[in-house]
Amino acid sequence: MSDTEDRVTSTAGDVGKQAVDKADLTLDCRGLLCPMPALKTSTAIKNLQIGQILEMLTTDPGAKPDMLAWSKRTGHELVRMEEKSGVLKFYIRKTV
Amino acid sequence: MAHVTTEPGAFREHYDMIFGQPWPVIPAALLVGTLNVFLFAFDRPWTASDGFRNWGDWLFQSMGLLHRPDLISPFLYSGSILNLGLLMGALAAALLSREFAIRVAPVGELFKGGVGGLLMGLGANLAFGCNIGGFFSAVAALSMSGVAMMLGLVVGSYLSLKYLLWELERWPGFSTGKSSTFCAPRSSGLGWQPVLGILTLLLLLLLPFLYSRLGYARQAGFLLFGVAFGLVFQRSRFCLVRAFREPFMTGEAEHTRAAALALTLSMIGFAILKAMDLKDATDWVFAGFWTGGLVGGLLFGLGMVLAGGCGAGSIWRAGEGHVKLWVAVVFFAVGGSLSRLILVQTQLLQKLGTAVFLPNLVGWQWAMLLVVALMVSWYVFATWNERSRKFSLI
Repeated sequence: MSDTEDRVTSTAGDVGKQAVDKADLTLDCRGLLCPMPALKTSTAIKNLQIGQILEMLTTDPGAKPDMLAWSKRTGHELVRMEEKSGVLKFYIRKTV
Repeated sequence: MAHVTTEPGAFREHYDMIFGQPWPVIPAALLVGTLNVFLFAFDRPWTASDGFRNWGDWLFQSMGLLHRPDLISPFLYSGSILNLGLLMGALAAALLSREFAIRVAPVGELFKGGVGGLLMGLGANLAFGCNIGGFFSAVAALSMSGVAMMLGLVVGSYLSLKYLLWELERWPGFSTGKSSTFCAPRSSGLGWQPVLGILTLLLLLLLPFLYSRLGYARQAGFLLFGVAFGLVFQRSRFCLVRAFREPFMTGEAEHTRAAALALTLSMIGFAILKAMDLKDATDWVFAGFWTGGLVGGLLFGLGMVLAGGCGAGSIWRAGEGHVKLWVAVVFFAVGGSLSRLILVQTQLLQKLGTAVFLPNLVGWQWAMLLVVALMVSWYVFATWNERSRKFSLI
């Protein structure tokens, strides 16, 4: 990882490390904290088609474990997680 | 990092282990349960609510609205020092792990933080403690008031989550709007946060010496306990709100399991201290069974899900820089102080229930077995629901 690159959050296996072209919908949850980012993601993903990608921005460090659990339990795929200047970005593919 | 050609040093590797990745939740929760036994052995079990009330009383007194000659200064009162230690310990941990930032939530969220804080302040007075003192430590002390509060907390968290989902559907604008972040860490390199974190930690290790030099050795102990709780909570993000809320949300049960195990451990420690006469048997058994515990738990459950932090969670997340929880902390203090005043004036405080010490009712063996059974049921329910998601609202 070079100095200018974003920090890609380390997780087990391939979760959250894939490349993403573009998001179909962006959800801004900056400033919010637990449980709002996960709840808003659940609501927003209903407006997408299967296979489409939701981009969620948040500033809560607690969102990391929250979104991992959310994806594991709801079945939607957490494609990529990255972190830049205190902002966490999650890319989620709707699967169900 | 690619540009570093040499192997990371032993210190850097150890630093990354402690502050670079989150601590596992269950061992952290067991550490909290153990520290709570130590704290009881030292003086009294852990709670956050009496510290909040002390802050509220002090605020009203300094505004000239309250006259209490017996009021202990927040810098000397045990509950307040525990809370200040928790706040500063979490701040140090957040800085050292580069997770500190001042995060200002949209106005609607700040409002919810205030309402949540007020509800928690009221609930904690009815239940004789917050979710830590009124539930966690109380059940560990084999008090039935704690069991009543647990029931109230389950119902309150469920209803509050239902409200949040309703709000998102009917009133999505409420939780959106302008938000800002200040002092966030840079994306690369260590930056200034760890340096400030080390300085904060040094100050926190220096203060106990100052306290004991001034003749307040006990206060020094409370401060260190608070700092230890702050470090463990911030690094592990172990959260009792999550333990109650998550089964109704994603179904994730790790924090529920962690809470059940930690409480069982605390209960065994408390029982040893009480049964061996190292502590009074009726310590931390309050007259809140069942009205005060149940109603207080319900209101507290509503408040903690709304605010996004409980008695302890509001404080350590405030230390991490969430402005919504700064608001919650202030309103918890104000609400706690006001509702205690009202409860005393109206003499309702004596009508919240009876003090029931479980071993007096069924003997030590059955009392301990009943608490273990309650915790095992909570653990099993959450684990079963994790797969089936029968109770999940999303």
